[in-house]
Amino acid sequence: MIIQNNTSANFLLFAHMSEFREKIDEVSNYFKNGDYSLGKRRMIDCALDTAQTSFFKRCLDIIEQHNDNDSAIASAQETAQFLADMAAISINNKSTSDTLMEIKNVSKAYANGNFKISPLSFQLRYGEVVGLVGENGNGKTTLLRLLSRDLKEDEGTLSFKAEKETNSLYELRTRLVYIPQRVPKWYGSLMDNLHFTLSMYDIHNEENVLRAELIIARLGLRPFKNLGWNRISSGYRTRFELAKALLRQPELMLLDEPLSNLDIISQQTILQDLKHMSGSISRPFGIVLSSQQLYEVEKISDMVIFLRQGVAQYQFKTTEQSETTQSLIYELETDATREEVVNTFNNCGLESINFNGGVYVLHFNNSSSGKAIFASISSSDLPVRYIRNITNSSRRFFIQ
Amino acid sequence: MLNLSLKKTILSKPLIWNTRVVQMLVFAIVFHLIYFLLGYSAFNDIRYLYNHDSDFEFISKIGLHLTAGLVLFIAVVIWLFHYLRNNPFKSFYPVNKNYLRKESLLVVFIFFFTITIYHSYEYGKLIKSRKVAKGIYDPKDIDVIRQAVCFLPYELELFERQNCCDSAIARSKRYKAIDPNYCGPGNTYQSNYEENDQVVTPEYAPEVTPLPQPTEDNYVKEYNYLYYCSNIEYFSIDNRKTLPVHSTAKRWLLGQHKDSIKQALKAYIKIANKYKIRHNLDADELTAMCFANNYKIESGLEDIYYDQEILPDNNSAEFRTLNNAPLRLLTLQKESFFTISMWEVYGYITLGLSVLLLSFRFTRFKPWIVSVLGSGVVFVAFAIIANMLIDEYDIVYFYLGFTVLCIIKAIQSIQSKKNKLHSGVWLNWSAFGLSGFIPIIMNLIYDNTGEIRRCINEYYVVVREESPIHDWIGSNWDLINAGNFTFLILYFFMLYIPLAYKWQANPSE
Repeated sequence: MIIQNNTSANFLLFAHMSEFREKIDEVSNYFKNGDYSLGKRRMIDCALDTAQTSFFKRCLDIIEQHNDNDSAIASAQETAQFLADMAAISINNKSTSDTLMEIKNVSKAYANGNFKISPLSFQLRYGEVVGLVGENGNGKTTLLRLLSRDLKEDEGTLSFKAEKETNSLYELRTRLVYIPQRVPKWYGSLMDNLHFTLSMYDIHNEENVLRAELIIARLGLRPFKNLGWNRISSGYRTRFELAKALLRQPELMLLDEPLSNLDIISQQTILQDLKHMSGSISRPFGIVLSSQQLYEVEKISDMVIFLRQGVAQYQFKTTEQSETTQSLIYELETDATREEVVNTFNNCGLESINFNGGVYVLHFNNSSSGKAIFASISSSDLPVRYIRNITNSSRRFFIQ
Repeated sequence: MLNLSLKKTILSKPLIWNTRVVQMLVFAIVFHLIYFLLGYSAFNDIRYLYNHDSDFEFISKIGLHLTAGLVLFIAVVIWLFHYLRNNPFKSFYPVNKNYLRKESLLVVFIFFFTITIYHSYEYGKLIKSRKVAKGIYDPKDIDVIRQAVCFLPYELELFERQNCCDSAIARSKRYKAIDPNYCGPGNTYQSNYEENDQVVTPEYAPEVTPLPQPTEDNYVKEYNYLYYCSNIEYFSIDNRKTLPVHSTAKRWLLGQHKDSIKQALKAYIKIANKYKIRHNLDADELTAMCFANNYKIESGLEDIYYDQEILPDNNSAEFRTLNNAPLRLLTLQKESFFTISMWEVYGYITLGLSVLLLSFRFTRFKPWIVSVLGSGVVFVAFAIIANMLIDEYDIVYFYLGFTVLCIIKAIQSIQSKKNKLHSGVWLNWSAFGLSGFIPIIMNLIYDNTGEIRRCINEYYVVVREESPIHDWIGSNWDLINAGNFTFLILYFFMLYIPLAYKWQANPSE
């Protein structure tokens, strides 16, 4: 038995070590391929995963030495040595296969009776992302507040893995970090707020300073670290709120429209970063986020919930999309007339066509294929501005 | 230095940093010191000690109050601005109940240390007073004053016939001294002028030689030195309520002992000089006045006040000021930093402000504002109900019952996770209501355990005996208030904070 246990433990340790090494290799590859900015961000994630102040310090030294010049960081010899040293250590790991949260038939109606969230069920594991999409006023924020335990459900059950480790509801709520759509105003400098947050989490003195510096470097906030609320844009305020939330090492991060204040490039970067950080080896966490940026959310989500009038009309895991879909739906933007579009796709199984907000939505039958559709376009010289397969996207639920 | 300490505390002592206790401590120490020095340099004249007036102070008292108030207001507003910036409890940072207790203590400490700034001014004055008054007070002074005032008719009514030892008032006093239950004619509370005006027979004046029967020559209708039968009472120095000073005085007067009277007056003048009391007294003239026209007093002596710059006539003085001076100096000797009055007021202000602020800090704006405004509504409702009630105690019972109800409802609704707004209001009301809980109960007990006497057939009859607790309450109000502070703090720590902790985590409806 003892031998078996040791073997099992060694195997797990090895598995996590190799997982961590993979991450470091990934960083090296980013640097090699010229993705310096991404490489630097991932390098910081790895340093944070080590949970060792010596690595925090070295990482920060490299960043500061090269004044945030990403290409210089990548080419520096000490960077390679730093990555190699990190690869050699073992990491305290946390399994991502556990269910973080399970929701069963949760419903909520407001007292005035104007709105109701119909029974909803889903599970979330560590490292997973759930996207909430839907038009305004359809229950996304209500659902997030239910998940953060800020609102009381009428029926159903919400269970969290962390409940077993905590003594009170308050303690549980410390692990569920909810960032509302309108970021609450903070006072003092950005850095002071981060120091205070870390200090409240019993991270003091040198480690406090290093972690705060790393997280602001990670989220591109270094130039603003001594500024206050009034002197930074709303996009950076959102980033700051994310930095603060990440320092709290949450089990579940609930983000209400986090992309609304971000520019188009930042939206994708921040989402990718969040997805990556949620899969941290030492401290993985789950994310539930609501957004109107449908495609961006779909890209990183393991599951998307579309809410219409409080009813979860559709929920699926993006990895299972192909198994659950039947007929093809395409979104097309063109200068051609409706007749020309119909003529183009008539021979490849077009069932119906809708004009929806400047674009056509084309529904094809089961026998049609993407190849046939694109062949029709090329043979007909249809002037295409934009075409997208939305068969497995919740975009189709926004169609009138 | 301050910045460095802030930097250090933010990295290692978040509670200290967040409550801004270091800055407030520095501010308070500086202002306590400034106000102490202002108090110490506020006066140089010993007469200030007997005449509390700004005329003797270099600093305008109103200005000082206004400045202190303004400084405190600004300091507290700035402090609140910083303190209320971050609330880790409402943001669900990992704080436990002990963190909240420590935070509460720091808030109480900050309020107390800040609002007592003016106290340092008083303490500065106390230290200066002791320095100025050092070596002046002598216990024998009071005996000298008591004896001399028999020959100083500055309080002319004491030399009236109706106040003499043979008057109905005096008789009543004597009866009362023999039997405290006496409540017959001449009783202070039942007297009327006509009765008092009658000169009673000498048998009722056992302590003095009877006055000569009035004749056209020796009897002055209104005033006479021989009528003096009073005594300056120095309760905190000497509890002898009656002293034989007036019998001695009468003996001297009737026996024409001019030298004795002159010596007594000279001793009085000496004390007046020692206490720096202004006067233009002449012992010879005053002695002569005692024997002029068979002890007749023409118009009495003028008692002047501190603000009268010029002494008007011969033999005028600050008589009353001198009467109070020994007692005042003795009180100064006994007074310490911790026995200066106002501590209880400071205590209640501190706790009141702390409860108000911490209830906001530990609940949320909506239940807090509803509970604050609601308290006003409840108070008005109580007043209306009290107006309708016949027995005034009913409103007290109503208040006590309501406070207990608030506590029960707070516990019940928070445990069962019921309506968050309502449970928050119950919780805050329980803390507001308990602020005066013990003193009100004690007052109720005090009123209902005291002795009740009725005047029946010229004698008081005890209808209800006084309970020992009545006497204890009457002489232990300081202890009761201290107990109330302790009770309130214990309630806040042991019940309010755990309930607020639960309340904060409870989901809304």
